[in-house]
Amino acid sequence: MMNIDAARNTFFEEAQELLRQMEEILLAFEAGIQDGEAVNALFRAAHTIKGSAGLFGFEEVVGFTHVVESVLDRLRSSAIDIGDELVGLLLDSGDHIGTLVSAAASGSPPDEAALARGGTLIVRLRTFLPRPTETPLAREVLPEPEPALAASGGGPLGGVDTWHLSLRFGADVLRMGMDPLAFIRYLTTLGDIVHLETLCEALPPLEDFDPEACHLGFELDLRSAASRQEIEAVFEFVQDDAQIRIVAPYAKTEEYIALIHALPEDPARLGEILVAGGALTRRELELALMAQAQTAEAGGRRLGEILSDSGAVSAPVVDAALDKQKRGEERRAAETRSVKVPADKLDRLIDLVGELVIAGAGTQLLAGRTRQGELIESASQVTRLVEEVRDAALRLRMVQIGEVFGRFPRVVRDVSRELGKDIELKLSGAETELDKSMVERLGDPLMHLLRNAMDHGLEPAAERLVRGKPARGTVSLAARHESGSIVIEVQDDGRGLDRERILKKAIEKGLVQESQSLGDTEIDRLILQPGFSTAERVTNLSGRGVGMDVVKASIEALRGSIEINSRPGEGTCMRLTLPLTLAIIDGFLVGVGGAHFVLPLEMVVECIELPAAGEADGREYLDLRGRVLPFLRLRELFEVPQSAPRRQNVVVVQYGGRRAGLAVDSLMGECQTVIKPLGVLFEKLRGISGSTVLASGEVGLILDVPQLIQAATGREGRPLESAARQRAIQS
Amino acid sequence: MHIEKTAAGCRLHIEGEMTVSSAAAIRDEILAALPAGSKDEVEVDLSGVSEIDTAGLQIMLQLKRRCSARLRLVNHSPAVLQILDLSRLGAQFGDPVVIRSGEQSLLQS
Amino acid sequence: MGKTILIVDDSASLRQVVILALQGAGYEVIEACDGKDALAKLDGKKVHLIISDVNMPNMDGISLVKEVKKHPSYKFTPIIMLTTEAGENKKQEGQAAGAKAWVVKPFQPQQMLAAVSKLVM
Repeated sequence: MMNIDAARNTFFEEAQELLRQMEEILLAFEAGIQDGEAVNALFRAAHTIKGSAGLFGFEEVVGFTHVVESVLDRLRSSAIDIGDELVGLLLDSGDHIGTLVSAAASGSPPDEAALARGGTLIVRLRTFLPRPTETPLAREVLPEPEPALAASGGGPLGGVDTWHLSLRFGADVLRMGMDPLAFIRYLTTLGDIVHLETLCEALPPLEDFDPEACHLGFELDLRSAASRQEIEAVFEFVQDDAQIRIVAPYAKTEEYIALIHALPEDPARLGEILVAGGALTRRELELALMAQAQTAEAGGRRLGEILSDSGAVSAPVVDAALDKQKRGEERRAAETRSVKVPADKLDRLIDLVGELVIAGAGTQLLAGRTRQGELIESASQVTRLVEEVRDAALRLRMVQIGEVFGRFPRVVRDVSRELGKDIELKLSGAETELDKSMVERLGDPLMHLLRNAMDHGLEPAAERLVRGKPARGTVSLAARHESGSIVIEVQDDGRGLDRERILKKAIEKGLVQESQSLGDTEIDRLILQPGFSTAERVTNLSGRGVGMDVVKASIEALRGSIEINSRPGEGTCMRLTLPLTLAIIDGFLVGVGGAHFVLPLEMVVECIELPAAGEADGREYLDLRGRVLPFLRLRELFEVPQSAPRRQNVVVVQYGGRRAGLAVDSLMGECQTVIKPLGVLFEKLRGISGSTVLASGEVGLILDVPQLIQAATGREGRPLESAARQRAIQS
Repeated sequence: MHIEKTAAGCRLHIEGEMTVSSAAAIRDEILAALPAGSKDEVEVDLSGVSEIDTAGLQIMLQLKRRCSARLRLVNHSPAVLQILDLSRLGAQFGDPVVIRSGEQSLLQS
Repeated sequence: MGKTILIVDDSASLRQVVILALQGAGYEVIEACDGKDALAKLDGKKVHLIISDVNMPNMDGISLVKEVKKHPSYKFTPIIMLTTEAGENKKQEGQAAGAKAWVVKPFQPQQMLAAVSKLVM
C-alpha cells in the first residue's frame, strides 16, 4: 500500500538520481562534449526536482532549484552560452541542491553555512539571468494556495452575497473535453446556486444539430462569500472559449443592463431571468431599459453629468432633478404600457374568481369522497391554479396610495393658514400599491392623523424658534411595503406627546387609576382610548369630537394596527401597519340552525360549550374560568327560525382588548373566505360586514365582530352610536 | 441503444455513455427511429445511462422538442438525475421521477 | 462507478503524490512515465482525463497531446498540462494542441484536485 512517506522516499531517491545525471552531463560539457538533448535533459532534471519538491512542501529546495532551472532555461533557448564558469557554477549548484534535499530528508533545516553558500550561488546564478526575473521568483518560491480552496475550506467568513453569473460557452468546449455543467457543479464548492436557468434557445433543430457542439447558455445566481477573482478562477480553463460575465452583489442596475445588451439572447428574456433570480426588481429593469434607451439617444452622456461636470449646478441639485425626471418617465412609461379597465369590470372578475375558488374547493371535497387518486390529484391541481388566478386578479386591483395622498397638500395648505403655522408637507412612497378598497377607506383616518399632527404636534412658530427649531414645521406622510404589509407613517417634528398631561387627563377621565404606574408606550397609547382629547383649546380641527379612538377603530376594522413613537421635543410618529388586501380573510365557520356565519379567524380566541348562563342588566353573561364574559345568542340576534339544539357552543372573540362570546349551534372549522360586499339592501344590517359563498354552494354571512362585541359589552352606553360612526368613517 | 415497438409507438433504451463521444451516434439513431412528423408515443428508458454530460443533456432536450408531450422519460439513472438537478431542467421534461428528486412542480414546466 | 484518470510524468514521486490524492477522492488512476508510455497504457481503455507533464524524455507532453487529439477514442478527453511559471510559451503550445487546462508546478495536491473536478463530472 502506497502512502505519503513512501512517496517522499521515492522523491529522495529520484532527486539523488537526477543530480547524478546532471553531474554526468556537466562533466561531459567540461570535456567538450555537448549537444542539444543534453541541455534539455539538464533542464528537465532541475525542473522535475523543483516540481516534486513543491508537492512535498520542501520550499528551500524549490526556491534554490528554481533559480537553477531559470538559468538552464536560458541555456536551452540559447540566450546564454555554456562556458567553463557556468559549468563550474552549475556543478556547485547541483551539490547544493543535494545538500538541501538531504536536509529535507533528515527533517531538519539546512545549517547556516549551507544557507550562506546558497546565497552566494544565487547571486552568481543571477548574473546569467535578465534583471526582471527577481519578481517571479519571489512569487513562485511560496506558491499561494488556490484562492477557491481557501474560500471553500474556510466557509463563509465575511458577508455571503449573491453574485449573478452569465455563462455562454463556445461551440467547441465539449470537443476540447470541457463540460459546462462540470464547471457549474464546481461552483457549488464556493457557495449555493440559488437560481439557475439553462438557456436552450440556441439549440438548432435535430436535423441541423451538431451534437458535439455546445449550444446551451446559463444564467445563475450564486450565494457565496467568495471574491470575484475566486469565482473567475473557476472558469480559467475556458476563459478564451467562453463569455463569462460576473455581476457583483448589489451591482448597479446599469451593470445588469450592460449584460443584457451584451448577450445575444432576447433582452426581454434575460431581463425576466434576472428578475426571477431576484437580481433586479421589475421596476429597476424597466427603468434601466428605459434609461439605457435614453442615454443612447443622448449620445451616451447624460445631461446631468455634463451639468455637474461643468460646475454649473451642484451635484445634489442635479441628482434631485434627475430623480424627479426619472419619476416622470416612470409614470409616462406606466401609462403607455397599461390598459384602462373600469373598476366594476375588475370587481366582477374578482367576484367570479372568488366563486371559482369556492367551486374549486367544493370539487376537491367531492373528489376526496370518491377516493380516486387521479381525480383527487387533478382536482387539487385545479384548486392550486385557481388560487393563483385569484392572487393575480387581486393584484389587478392594486392601486397606488398616491391617490389618497394627492388630496393632502391642499389640506395642509388650508390648515396651516387657519392655524397660522408655517407647515411643510413631505410625501414619500406615493407609488406604494395596495388594494383599491383599502385606499378608499384610508383617506379619513390619514386625514385625521395629519390634522392632529398639525394641530397638536407642531408648536407655534415662536415656540419652535425658542427651542432652536426652524420656524417652519414639517409633517411627513410616508408609505412603503414591509414583509407583506403596508406601513404608513405620519410624522411631525413638533413637541412630541406631553406624557404628564396625558396621564393627568386620563386620571381625570377615570381611564386609569392614580396608583397605576404606566410605561411611556402605555401612556402614549392612552390617547387612543375612547373619549380622550388633550386639546385644551377646542379648535375646529381636532376638537370636532372625533377622537383618536375612532381612528384606531377604523384602522383595526381594516385589520391594521397603530404604533406610536414619540420623543419629547422632537416629534411624534404614528405608524400604521395594514394588510395588502381586504378581499380575503381566514375565516372560522359556524352554524346556527340552517344559517352559516363566518368569523375572522384572528378575532377568535377559543371555543367552549355553552354552560348555564346568568343574567344581569338585561344582558347575558357566562363564567369563563372565573371571568365574566358577556355573550350574544346569534339565533336571537338574526332571528333564525329553527329551535336551538340541546347542545350549543360559544365562540369567544376578542377585538380591541375586549372579549365577548357568541352562542352558536355548531363549529365547522377554518375556511379561507373571499369577501363579497353586501348589496345596497343589506348595507345597514347590523352585525354583518359581508357575505361569502361556501364550498357547499350556500351563502355565509361574515360577522362584524367589533360591532357585535360592542353590542354585547355595551360599554360607554353608546355601542350602536359608536359603531355607526365607525362605519361612517370607513365608507 | 436499442429500440422496441410498443402499441402506441416505440421505446428507446439508451445504454452506456450519453456524452460528447457518443452524441453523434445517438443523434443519428434518433433521427432514424423517430422520423419528423411521426405521431408515435415515445418512451425513453434511461436506466442504462452510465454517464451523461452537456452533450447528452442537449440530446435529451432535442428529444423533448421533437416529441413534446408524446415523450416519456422513464427509469432515470443516477447520472441522469444528477444532471437534471444541476441544470434545473427537471420541470421542463415533466416526468414524474424528476418531481420527486428535484422538488419541482409540474406547474412550472 | 469511479472515473479513470491517466497521470503522465517522468517523476515517480510526483506521480505517487498525485495518485494518492486522486485515489483519495475516489478516482481510479493509471500512470505513465512519458508520452510513449502513456499511449501504450491507454490501449483502448476508457479514460476520463489525462494529466500530463510537458517536459519528458522519449515523447514530451505536447507531442502526446497531439497524438491523443488524433485518436478517435480520446479526441474529446480533457487534458491538464503540468506547466511552470517560466513555461508560458509551452502552455500556449499545449493549448493550441488541445490541452485547455493546466496546473502550474509546483502545486499542492488540493490544487490538482480542484482542477480535476472542474473537468470530470
